[in-house]
Amino acid sequence: MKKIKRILAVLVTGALVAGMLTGCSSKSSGVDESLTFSEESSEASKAESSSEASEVSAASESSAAAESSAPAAEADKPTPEGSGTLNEVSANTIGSLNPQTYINSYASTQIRRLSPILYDYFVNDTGDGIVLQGEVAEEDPIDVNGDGKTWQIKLRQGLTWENGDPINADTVMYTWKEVLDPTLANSRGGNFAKDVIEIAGAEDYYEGKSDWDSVGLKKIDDYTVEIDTVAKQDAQEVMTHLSHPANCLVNEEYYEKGMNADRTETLYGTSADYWISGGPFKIESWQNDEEIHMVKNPNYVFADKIWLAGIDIRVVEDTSTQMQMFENGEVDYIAVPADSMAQYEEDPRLMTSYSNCVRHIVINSADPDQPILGNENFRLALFYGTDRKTLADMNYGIPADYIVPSNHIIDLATNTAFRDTEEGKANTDPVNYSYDPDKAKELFNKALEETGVDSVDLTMIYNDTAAYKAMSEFVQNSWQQLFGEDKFKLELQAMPSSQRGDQVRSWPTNPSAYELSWAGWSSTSLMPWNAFKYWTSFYTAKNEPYINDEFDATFNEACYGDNRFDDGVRLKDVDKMEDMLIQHAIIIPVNEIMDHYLKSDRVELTQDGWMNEVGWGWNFCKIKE
Amino acid sequence: MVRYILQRILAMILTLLIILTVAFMVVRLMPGSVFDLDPELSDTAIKAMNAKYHFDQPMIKQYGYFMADVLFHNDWGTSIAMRPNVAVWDILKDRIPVTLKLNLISLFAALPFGLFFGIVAAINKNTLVDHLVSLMVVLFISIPSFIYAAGLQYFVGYKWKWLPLIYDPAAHGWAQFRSMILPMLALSFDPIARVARYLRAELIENINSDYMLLAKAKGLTFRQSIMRHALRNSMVPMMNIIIPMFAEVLSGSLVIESIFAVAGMGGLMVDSINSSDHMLTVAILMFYSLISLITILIVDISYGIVDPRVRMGVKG
Repeated sequence: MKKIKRILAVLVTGALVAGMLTGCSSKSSGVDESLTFSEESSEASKAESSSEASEVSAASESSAAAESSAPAAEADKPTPEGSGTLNEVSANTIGSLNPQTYINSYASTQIRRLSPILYDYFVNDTGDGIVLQGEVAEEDPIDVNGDGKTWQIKLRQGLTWENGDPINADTVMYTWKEVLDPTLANSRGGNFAKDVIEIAGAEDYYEGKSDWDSVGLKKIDDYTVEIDTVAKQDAQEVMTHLSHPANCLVNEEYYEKGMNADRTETLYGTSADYWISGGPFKIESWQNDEEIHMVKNPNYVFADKIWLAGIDIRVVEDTSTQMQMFENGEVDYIAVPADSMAQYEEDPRLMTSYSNCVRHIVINSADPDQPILGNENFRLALFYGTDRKTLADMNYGIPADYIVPSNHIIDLATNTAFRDTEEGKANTDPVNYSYDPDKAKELFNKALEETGVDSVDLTMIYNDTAAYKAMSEFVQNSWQQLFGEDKFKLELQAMPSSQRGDQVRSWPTNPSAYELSWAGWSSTSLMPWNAFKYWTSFYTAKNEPYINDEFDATFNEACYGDNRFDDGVRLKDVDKMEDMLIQHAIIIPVNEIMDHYLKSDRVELTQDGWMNEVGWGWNFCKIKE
Repeated sequence: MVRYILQRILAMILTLLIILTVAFMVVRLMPGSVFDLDPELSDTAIKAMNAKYHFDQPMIKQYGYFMADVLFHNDWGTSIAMRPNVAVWDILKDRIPVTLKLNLISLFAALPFGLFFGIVAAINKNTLVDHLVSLMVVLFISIPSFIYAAGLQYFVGYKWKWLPLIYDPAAHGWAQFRSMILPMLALSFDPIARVARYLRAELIENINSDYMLLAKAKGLTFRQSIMRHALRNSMVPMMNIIIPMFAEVLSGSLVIESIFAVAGMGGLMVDSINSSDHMLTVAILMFYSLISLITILIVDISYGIVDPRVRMGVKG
């Protein structure tokens, strides 16, 4: 017995030592070399990029399974089951696929992939532009009375959910009733009631002030629904309103299945048990916060545009892990953070797109403790004293002395960007981006005289990220150098993003909440006028204490005015609102934020690059074998 | 003894109620609102949701609603931001198993190594072996685990492709275990070092004790005296560090889970705070508090069993 024990002890000890030596070997290598991890990663990415395509097919086991049964992607038309799996990675979790309660834009992208919707943006047949058209809707809305206030929508017949249940007027009416249900108080109900269009009686019903019968939403027949709007609209506006991902249709059976006893909440879209698809793809498996596997829905109305057999998404929070997965061929494309861009600047796989956002410096011009912030010349001094080119280069963005991003379209019919119009060009300085140190110093000295102070001490709060730290430090140094350190001093204070945002927005209750900070609003690229809502007096989450009746009136004219469809009215309004904000230096625009991606060679896009609203068109891409 | 245990459980329940109150107040008084996250939300929607969740009521009323739901209906509320409408404990139930699995396996794997190195270092005190083990212990303890994690992932997963880069939740059996090896290795270095260091110190002290001299005088070999006496006596104080290790495994590791894409408990607290998902944050805090209190209760009861003076309240 003792002998057996000894033998066992020796064996166990031997196994432990062998195992540990293996562990030590890995570990000891890792300790030293991890110090040069980023350099190695960079070199590795360059060295292995050329052989990546051959590695992809071997590494991607899940893709291979889906691909083996499908015909080659080079066929003229997509097959019903599609071909090839797109492997994605995301730092975000879905949270919920319920279009009426979703929490972030990443979730809305997945909702759109899996849910039917009345209207949406698609790439046109030639692949060089976009078109807003019906998906569940058969055609554009019909102006029944000719007054632009009653719109009928005809639905396609024969559309179904993945279980074969029909998608018809009852589906649409149930969706609309639930999104506005005052007991559920869904987060997206308010925007459905009033955003691009205002549905008659909808807001009152949502607030529990009236009953459902008073809402301007009606079923005409099994395949026709009708919307009454408060103001005169055009078909484009009705379609734009209904194309928002929050207005995807929900399935009554599964929505009710997840409903609680007092009908205040539903589990619809929170797990595979409470979900049914009806969009371009359907869910094959879904593990919350970890991964989701989608396959092509052969019954989707535009299935002939979907080449993919499926999409696999993994949730990976760490960006360096994402990079390694991409280089290993486990992921087909990734977003490249600005601080990693230096490694990939020359990489042929790099793709860049607009992010619909101009980063700017916000000013608390009503701060009672810093009256100089209310001085227009001082704010203009900061405006002209900002070196936008250097700041943009630091973040691989585009210098911007304007507010409307370059990709925002003022006229969809001609696909004309606002920045390409004469009005848009007039608001910018394409050479120096309004960086004029001499003018800045002159305005600064004038401001000191007007306010009767000898020097200025300000504090800028910023998000505690490397990018914002670098930008804030640059602004601090450049302004102090420009205006003289004896006359101008800028303190910097880092804080978490949510805390900074909350502090900035608390100025109505705490007028000295902040002095300077950073911000950037995203907005719909096809309605540049709508982006100015953030500076109207009726927007409650405002960053700046800017209240201007003329600005409000201009905004209302562009969005709701009876003459807004007249030629050039909206162009004039957008120009005027941008001009008002810049000329008075209400904010200091700095740069357009750009998104950068690396795409695997196995993925072939079916459109001419990035486009407004449809992005890179990943849903419609092909996988090359 | 039963009375002593009941007293401890009663004290634990009172402590939990106090923690619950403090947690609710602190979390609700934090700046920021869950509805700030989306600038698209209309004022009407924000008002409706504030009314639905009683956020428009005075804090004391909110506290009343919350305590009534918890105490009378066992309703801890639902998530608003991270997984809207899902009961907060259901979210924890999804996250705990993977954290538990990963951390328990790594801890059970680490303990034999830690004990082995501790014993080897102690019986070879002041030799090259002891110095090498001590160097390893210092490296394992002083270098943060994410350095090992990143290094292991880069070399073993990315460069050499021996193991998967990330944890694979969809795989089964050996395939899933393979994907867990790297995070488990990264998680095990610290406990290996802590156990080895502690055991080495305890064992050296016991080896130099008088009773060891007696054992040798009785004719026991060096190995027999170590295994039968010194090691046994050294293991008792080891419980001081091993029991808390089991409590800690439930908390997960934020960095390791982030690097290896493990959807565990590690990042849940940070994410819920950042997204102002208040009810979820309170539930997580209560979960951690409960685990800590149970651990303390177990330690207290075990002391009561070992030493009757503890449960009798005898002083001196």
